[in-house]
Amino acid sequence: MVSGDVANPQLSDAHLVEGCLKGDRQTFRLLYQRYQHKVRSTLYQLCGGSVLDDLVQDVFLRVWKGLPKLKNPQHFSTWLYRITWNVASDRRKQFAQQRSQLETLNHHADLRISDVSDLMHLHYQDLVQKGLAELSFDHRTVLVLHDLEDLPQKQIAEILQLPVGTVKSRLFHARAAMRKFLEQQGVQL
Amino acid sequence: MSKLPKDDHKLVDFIRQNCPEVPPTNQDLEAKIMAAVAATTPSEPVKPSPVMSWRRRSLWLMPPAIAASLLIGWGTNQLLTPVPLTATELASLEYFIENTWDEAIEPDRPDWYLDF
Repeated sequence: MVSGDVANPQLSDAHLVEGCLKGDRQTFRLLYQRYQHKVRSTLYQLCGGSVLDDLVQDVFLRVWKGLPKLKNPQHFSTWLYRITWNVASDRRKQFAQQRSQLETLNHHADLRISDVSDLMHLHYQDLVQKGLAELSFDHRTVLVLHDLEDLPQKQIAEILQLPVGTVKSRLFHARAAMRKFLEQQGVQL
Repeated sequence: MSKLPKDDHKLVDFIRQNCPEVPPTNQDLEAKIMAAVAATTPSEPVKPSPVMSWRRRSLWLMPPAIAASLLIGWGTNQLLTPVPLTATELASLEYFIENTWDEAIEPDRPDWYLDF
């Protein structure tokens, strides 16, 4: 989706938050357009795609309701990631006993296989998804936020309310586990 | 992003290149969310409760309370500290003690303790 806000990058998060606090729902639409892809991507990597739209909606509704409680609008993105992580965490607890994300991925992959040249790429996607699923939720969260969403460690520490040292440690262990898994599957890194 | 160890570069590149693609956004989702937003009022900012206000007010009472305690302590100390005796008073006291004790433990009287 082309974000309308891309044409107005000078509008800061804090400015948009202020507009929302005045009751301007169109301003909230700009915030949604600015961040929906990041939220969607993070939720997908953490929870899979089965109820992705519901989770995205849950995140943005929580954001809308909680905006008056946001003390520092300049830290909106950190706060948004925190809510995203909370929604993902709640979802994980609810479905801890249900089918794994692997089934969802297989379903997704089946729909996509149309070209033999894509086969290896799909295989690697499958391995990465399996590798992520093998990680603990805490390690997966740090790996997704740092290596896929490209967030700095300091911001991840603020999002998860952890010391930076803990984030580093989790990232180290997450990568080690991922590397081990991929090498066991025959991938040479 | 922080510097990556050499080995991690290849790993991170591999994960990024082969990260499963996020399913495309449902075009109706934005409208759905905005409709839900339109039906929802943002939460009111949390107002400090009366208990909190009372606690905050009580914090302001602390410095005067400490000052009053120190003043009372100092005053009590001043009241209870004995005033130094003059030479005349000391001599009078000494005389009194000598007379009194001499009669109380007179060594020549074996039954002195029966006086009580």
